[in-house]
Amino acid sequence: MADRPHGPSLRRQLLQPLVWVWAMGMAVAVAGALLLARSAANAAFDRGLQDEATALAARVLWSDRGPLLDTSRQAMEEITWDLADRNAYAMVDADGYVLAGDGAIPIPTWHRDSVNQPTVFESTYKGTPVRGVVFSVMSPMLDRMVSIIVVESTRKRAEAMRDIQIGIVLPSLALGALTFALLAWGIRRGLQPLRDVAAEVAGRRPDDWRALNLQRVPAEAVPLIERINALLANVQHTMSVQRRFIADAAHQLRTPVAGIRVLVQDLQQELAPLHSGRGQPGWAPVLEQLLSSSDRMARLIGQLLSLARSETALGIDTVGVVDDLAAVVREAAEPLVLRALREGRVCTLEAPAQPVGARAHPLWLGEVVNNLLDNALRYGGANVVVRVRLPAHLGEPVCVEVEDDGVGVSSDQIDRLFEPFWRGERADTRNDGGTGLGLAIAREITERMGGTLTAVSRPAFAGIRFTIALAA
Amino acid sequence: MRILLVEDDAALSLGVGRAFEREGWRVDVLDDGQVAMAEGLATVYDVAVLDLGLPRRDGMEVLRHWRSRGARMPVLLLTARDELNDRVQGLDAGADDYLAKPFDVPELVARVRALKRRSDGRIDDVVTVGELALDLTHRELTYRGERVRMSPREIALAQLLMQRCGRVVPKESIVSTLSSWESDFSENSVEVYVHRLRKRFAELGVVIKTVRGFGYVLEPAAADTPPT
Repeated sequence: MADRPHGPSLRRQLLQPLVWVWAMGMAVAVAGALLLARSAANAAFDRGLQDEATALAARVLWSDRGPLLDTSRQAMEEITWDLADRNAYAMVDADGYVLAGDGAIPIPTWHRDSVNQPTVFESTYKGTPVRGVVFSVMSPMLDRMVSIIVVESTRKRAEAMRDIQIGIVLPSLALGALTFALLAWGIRRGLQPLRDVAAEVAGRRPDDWRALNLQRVPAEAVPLIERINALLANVQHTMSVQRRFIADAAHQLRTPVAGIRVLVQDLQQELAPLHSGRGQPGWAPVLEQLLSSSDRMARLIGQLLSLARSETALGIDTVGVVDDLAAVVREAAEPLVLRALREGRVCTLEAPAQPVGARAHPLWLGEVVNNLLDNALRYGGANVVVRVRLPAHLGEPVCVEVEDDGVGVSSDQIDRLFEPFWRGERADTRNDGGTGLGLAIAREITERMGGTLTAVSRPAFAGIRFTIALAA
Repeated sequence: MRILLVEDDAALSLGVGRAFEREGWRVDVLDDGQVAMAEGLATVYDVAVLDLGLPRRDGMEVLRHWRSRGARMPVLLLTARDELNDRVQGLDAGADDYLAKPFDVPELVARVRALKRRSDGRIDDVVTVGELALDLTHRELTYRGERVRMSPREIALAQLLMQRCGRVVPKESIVSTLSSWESDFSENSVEVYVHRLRKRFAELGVVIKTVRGFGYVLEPAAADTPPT
C-alpha cells in the first residue's frame, strides 16, 4: 500500500481540518475557563474576607486607653478561621502601628483610604502569597481611626480555580476524543464497502467481467463504481467483438477450405482412371499433400472456432455437474479410439466401477479429452491410457488423466507445452499435421470450467501424463 | 435422381456438382437464396442440398419457405457453423440431415443416397458386414448365403455390434440389450458372450476388437489378413 503513489487518505483529509478547529476551540475554552474560574473564585473568597474584616471591625471597642479588639472566644467564634491556612488578622492605627493581632501582617500604605469600604489587596505573608482586606473604622467621636487587616493564603482559591478549570476542560477533552474516535470509525465503516468491492475483484476469475454490485456502496462512491462497471462492460464488449471476429473469420474460411477439399477429391477421382502404368503416379503425392494441407487447415479453423466458442459457452454460470465422467470420456474419445485402433495403438480407459461426478461441462470436457488424446496419438507412444481417478481424500479434485509411454518432453520444455503454436523441438514432429493449438485450448477450456490442466513427463514419468483436475 | 444443389461458393458447388454427376445424378446448381426459393417449388427434386449462408435469403429462410409451401423433398443442410443450436434450428426448420463444412465428398454422397432411400420408404432390414449378413426381420445370420446357426442371445449381440460396425459399442449398451434375455446379466458375462461370438466370427471374416474400458468394435477383417 505504502509504496504506491496516491493522494492523502480520506480519513486524514477529513480529520486534519477538524483537529485544528477543535484545538482552537479547546484553547479558547481553556483560556475562558481560566479567566472565569479566577474571577469567580476571587469574588467568592474576597467576599468572605470582606465579611470577616467587617465582623472584626464590629468588635473594635473605643476605650479611654484607645481602641481595643474584642478577641474573646465568643467573639472569635463568629468568624470562621481556616486553621490549616495561613490566615491572620491585625488592627493597626492610622500610622500603621499594630495595636492588636499579628505583628508580621503586611500593611498596605494606603490603609487609611479604606474607610467605610473594605478594600482588597494582594501581598505576601510569611513567604506565601496572600490576599487580604483592609477596613478602616472611625471612632465614635471621629477623632481616631483604626484599620482592620485580614489576610488569607491563596491556596484555597487556587484549589477552587483548579477544580473549576478541570470541570470545564476535562469533559470537552473527552468529548473531543470521542468525536474523533467516532469519526474515524465512521469513515472506516463508510469505506468498508469499497474494500469489499476490491476484495471481490481480487477474488475474481480473470475473465469475469460481470458488473460490480452497487448495493452496499456509499452514495458518494456510486459514480466511481458505475464508471468501473461501464469500463468492464466496454472491455467485455471489445472482447466479445474480437471473439466474434475470430469466429466469423473461421466460419468464412470454412467454405473455401471445404471447396479446396472437394476439388482435390474430385481431381483424385478424375485422374485415377488415367493412370494405368505401374508404380505411383507423379501427381499422387501432390494431391495427397494438398488433401492433408486442407485437412490441417480445416482442423486449425475448427480449433480457432472452438477456442472462440468456449469463451462464450463457458461463462461463470454455465458450468454444471457431470454425473459420470467415464461416460463423457467414452463418448468424446470414440473417434480417436477408432483412429488408435487403425494405427495399431492400444487405448485403454480405466475408471472406477461407480460413476464419478465432477464440476464440468460435458461437451467441453469431451473437447479437452479429445485434444489430449489427439496429442497422445500424434506424438505419444504405443500405449495410451485414459483414467478417471477418484480423489484420495475428501475435498480433493477429481482427476481425468491422459497418458502415453512415448518420449514425452524434457523438464525444461514442459512449461512451454501449453503455449499456443509451440510445436516442440523434435525434428519428427514437424510434419505431424498438428495445429499447435490443441493443448493451449485444452488448458484454456479446463480453466474456464474451474479446473486445472497440468503435465508431468520425464524423468518423473516414463512418457507424458496430462491431468485434468476438476472440483468434485 | 434429380438433385438441387444450392451453394454460393463456386469451388464447392463445382466439386460437389461433379461428384453428384459422377454418381449418375442430375444436378441443378443455384447460388442465390431468392432464386432457390422459387426453383425448389417449381421443380420436383429427389433431394435438395442447401447451404445455410446464401446471398439475398439465407438457407434457413429458403428451407422454411419450401416447407410452408408443402415441398416434401428431403433436405440436407450444409453449413460452416456446427454449433448445437444451429443444428437443432436447422432440423426444427424441416431439414432431414446436416453436414458441417469441411466435409468429405464420399460422406456427402452417402448421406444423400441414404436420404433418398429413406424418402422412398425403404428401410434396411439386412445388415451386412463383409460377407456376413443379418436379416433383421427373420433374425437370421448368413455367411456367403449359408445360414449360420446361433442362439437368439448371440444374434442379439451380433445385431448390436453389426449395426454399429466400425464404432465403439460400450459395455453398458451390451448389458442393457442382453439383460432382456437374462434377468441378472452382469458385465462379466458380457465378456463371456463377446469372447464366444469373437471366436465364431473370426472364421466368418469379421473381427471383434476389445478396447479396454471403452467397449468393443466390430469390423470386417482387413483384406490383407484373410480369415483362416
